[in-house]
Amino acid sequence: MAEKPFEGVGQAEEAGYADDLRHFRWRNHGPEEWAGLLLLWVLGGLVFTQFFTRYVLNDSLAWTEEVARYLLVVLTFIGAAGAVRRGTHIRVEALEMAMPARARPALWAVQDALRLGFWAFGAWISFDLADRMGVMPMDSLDHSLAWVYWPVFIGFVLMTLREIQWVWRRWRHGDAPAAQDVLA
Amino acid sequence: MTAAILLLGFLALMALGVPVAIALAGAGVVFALVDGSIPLLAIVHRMVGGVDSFPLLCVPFFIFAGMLMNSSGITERIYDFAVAAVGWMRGGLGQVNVVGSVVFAGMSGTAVGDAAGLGTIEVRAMRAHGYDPKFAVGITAASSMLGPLLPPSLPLVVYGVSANASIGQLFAAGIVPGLLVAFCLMGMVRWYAVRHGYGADAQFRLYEMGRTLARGILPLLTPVLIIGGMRAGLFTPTEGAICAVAWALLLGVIVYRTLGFKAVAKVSFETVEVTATILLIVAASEVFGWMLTTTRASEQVVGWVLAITEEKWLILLLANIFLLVVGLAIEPLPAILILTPIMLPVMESIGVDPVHFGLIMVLNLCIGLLTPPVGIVLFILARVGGISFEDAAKGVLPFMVPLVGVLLLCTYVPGVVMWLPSLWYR
Repeated sequence: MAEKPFEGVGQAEEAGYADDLRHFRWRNHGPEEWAGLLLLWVLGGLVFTQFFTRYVLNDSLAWTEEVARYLLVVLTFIGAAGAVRRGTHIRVEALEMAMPARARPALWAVQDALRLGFWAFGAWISFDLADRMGVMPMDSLDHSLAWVYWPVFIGFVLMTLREIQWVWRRWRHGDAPAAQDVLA
Repeated sequence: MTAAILLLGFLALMALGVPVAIALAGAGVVFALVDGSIPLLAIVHRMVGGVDSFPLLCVPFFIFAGMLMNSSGITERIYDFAVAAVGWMRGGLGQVNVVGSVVFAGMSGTAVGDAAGLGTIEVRAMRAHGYDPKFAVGITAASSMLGPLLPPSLPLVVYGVSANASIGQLFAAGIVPGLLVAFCLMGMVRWYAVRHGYGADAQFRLYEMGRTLARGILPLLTPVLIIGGMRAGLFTPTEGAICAVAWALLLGVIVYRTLGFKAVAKVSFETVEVTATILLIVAASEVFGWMLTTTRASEQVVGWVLAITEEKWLILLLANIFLLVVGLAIEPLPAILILTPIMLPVMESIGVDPVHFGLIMVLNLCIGLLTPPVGIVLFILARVGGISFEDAAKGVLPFMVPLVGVLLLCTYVPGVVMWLPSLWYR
């Protein structure tokens, strides 16, 4: 097969396997990514504390496991907004690569519509769910599950907004998805 | 009919190139709209339920631990130790490559992590010592397969969650096949070295071995810590993952002082991003898997396969070929999440253990990382090795023989895979 440009390497470096800090900038990270970082560390601290208390105090705190699960849910949907911002959600590009360059903008328009449609669908449904979950109690804590579903709603809203940003840019500049810089 | 709508909807969305998560959940939305009996609320509710799981917590932390290890210069210590241990053999750096990967696989759970961390050092060293770059890239790519086979393994964790199988057993199941792959690769390096007249790259000195062992003892203990702790029942896989993170931070930040504040923040951001992209697919695959079951679509798929043949060996062969082909186009983790709910019922219907099938699936799909058109391990190593992607693919081709050999052995001799899990857990 013909030699391909090294599109994969950029991804691998994005994925964190290039351990140099040359391209690292604090301001390149959006608020949703900062929220994700915070969630990761709180989550890590919580799981570690649970493990630690079980051995040292011989008494594990019952609520830690449940809260850790909820935090993972929130991390998923808030972090997914960060991935929309960076355009790194995993997808298959086989058809796109096989298509003639002239036909690609049409495919991109379809993709844009589908992505935007799905995130907006998620926002709409999760709003409804969060609203109903106000009466559903958590297992071990005296709060309602709405505390888990409202952040999911926020995550979907952020995904929708970031996607609108992408689509807006593409319509203005007509770029390929990969040819764009990460949204500032 | 029901299965057809779901599967065709999914395939159409995947072909259009939308994110895998949207293809999986979107197929569910299409089905719910056509069918009319499934409320749309259930789709997002299921997505949240799919990631509301304690075992899944080990995904972010194994990713985090692997990235921290990669960024903290621990890889060089492992490399130095491997040179001292096996560098004196014929084709020395080739052997170093395999042994280094065995050790590194004990802290990293992915092939890409192995290739981009240790692999980069190895390919550079082999080129500097006059090895054929194609051979260097080939053996490095092949040995990166040990990452997802030897515990801890991210693909096995994801499979375990998707198939509802014991992660401890899956980890145990990967040990013998992983060591078999390592053993076969070392044999191939030896054969290659004799044929091409490669000599040794280092002399064996007991002092040097002791010195590098002392320098690398703390990172070398990581796999012992994780596997031993889980085996002894000290902690669950999730707690094992968090302990690995704490250990990596302790080594990188305090003991070796190679990880600064900025580096930890960078790795944290990346961990969140990788975790979220994978877990969103986990969430969406929960919707897909649930619909496959409630609509009895998975039973229909079993029916279709059994209509073709009821021979166990033939179904296993077809499954292997199918997985290898899928692995050419799709990365292992999304492929596992898509295919487990479809294929596992078929496997269970012919009496294949879920743990056994997990190993078969992961090995198949990871081989796809070494092949064109999208093999990311090859992309990375070709660039490091300074050769074309095409040459890299040719370089790895001979190493497919032992990999596929072990794959067939694992498929048809279940004992290879199931011996340790049965010994330890059943």
